[in-house]
Amino acid sequence: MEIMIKGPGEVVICLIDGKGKTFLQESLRTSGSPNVHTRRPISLMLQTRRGHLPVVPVLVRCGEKQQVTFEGEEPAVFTQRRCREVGCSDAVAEEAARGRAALLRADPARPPGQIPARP
Amino acid sequence: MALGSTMLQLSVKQELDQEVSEVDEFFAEVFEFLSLGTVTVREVALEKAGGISGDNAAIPIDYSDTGFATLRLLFGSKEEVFFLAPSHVPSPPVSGAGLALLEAFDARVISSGTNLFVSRRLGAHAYFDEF
Repeated sequence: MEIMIKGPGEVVICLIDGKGKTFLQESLRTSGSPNVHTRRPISLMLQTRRGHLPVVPVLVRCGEKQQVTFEGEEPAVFTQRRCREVGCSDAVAEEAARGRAALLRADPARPPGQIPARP
Repeated sequence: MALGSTMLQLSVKQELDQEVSEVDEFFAEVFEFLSLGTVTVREVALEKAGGISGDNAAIPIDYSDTGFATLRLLFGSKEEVFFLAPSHVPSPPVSGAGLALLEAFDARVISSGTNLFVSRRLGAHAYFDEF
């Protein structure tokens, strides 16, 4: 799937499974003129320990002056259709289309840049 | 339309749940249309922080050289000129380009049955002048 962003600012996207759990969270910040464009191809299939997992992209946040499309469509429209494809419940699909997904929080005990302690 | 001094900049922070066992290659591009003038690229750079480690096979989390960035100047004739990061000196002037495209790449990692802890941050920028 192709994400297109027009304009500078920050976009946050989560990939969720059919139950609404977030598996990937990505923040894309672009700087430049008001005419700057960003293209980000992203796979809608993740590999997990349990095998292939189809996921749904959710646009959680974007700048006021930014325009975002998923495969050339409004993100909410694409998200809802993809939710039907992966078998989300109505409640999950509705929340996702509204841009609501649980954010993955960095573990404060393991900030980026440090090797995690072995168990 | 980019006559004058222009910056293209992209910063990405990616986090994955621990159930994910494979991290796709990262690719994104930022672009701006030009005015077919003469372009001098002043700087192209990429930096990466964070990293990836597994339960049993720790890959050092540190600044890494796996990130890769290019600035491509595209012409209507499908020709192109590209510049690799890091570059901190002015390029030779290039005339007639219609599009400046900053591309950032990072490697794909596959876990051999262990959990991956992933938080990676990539930043790339390019500065150029068009007259």
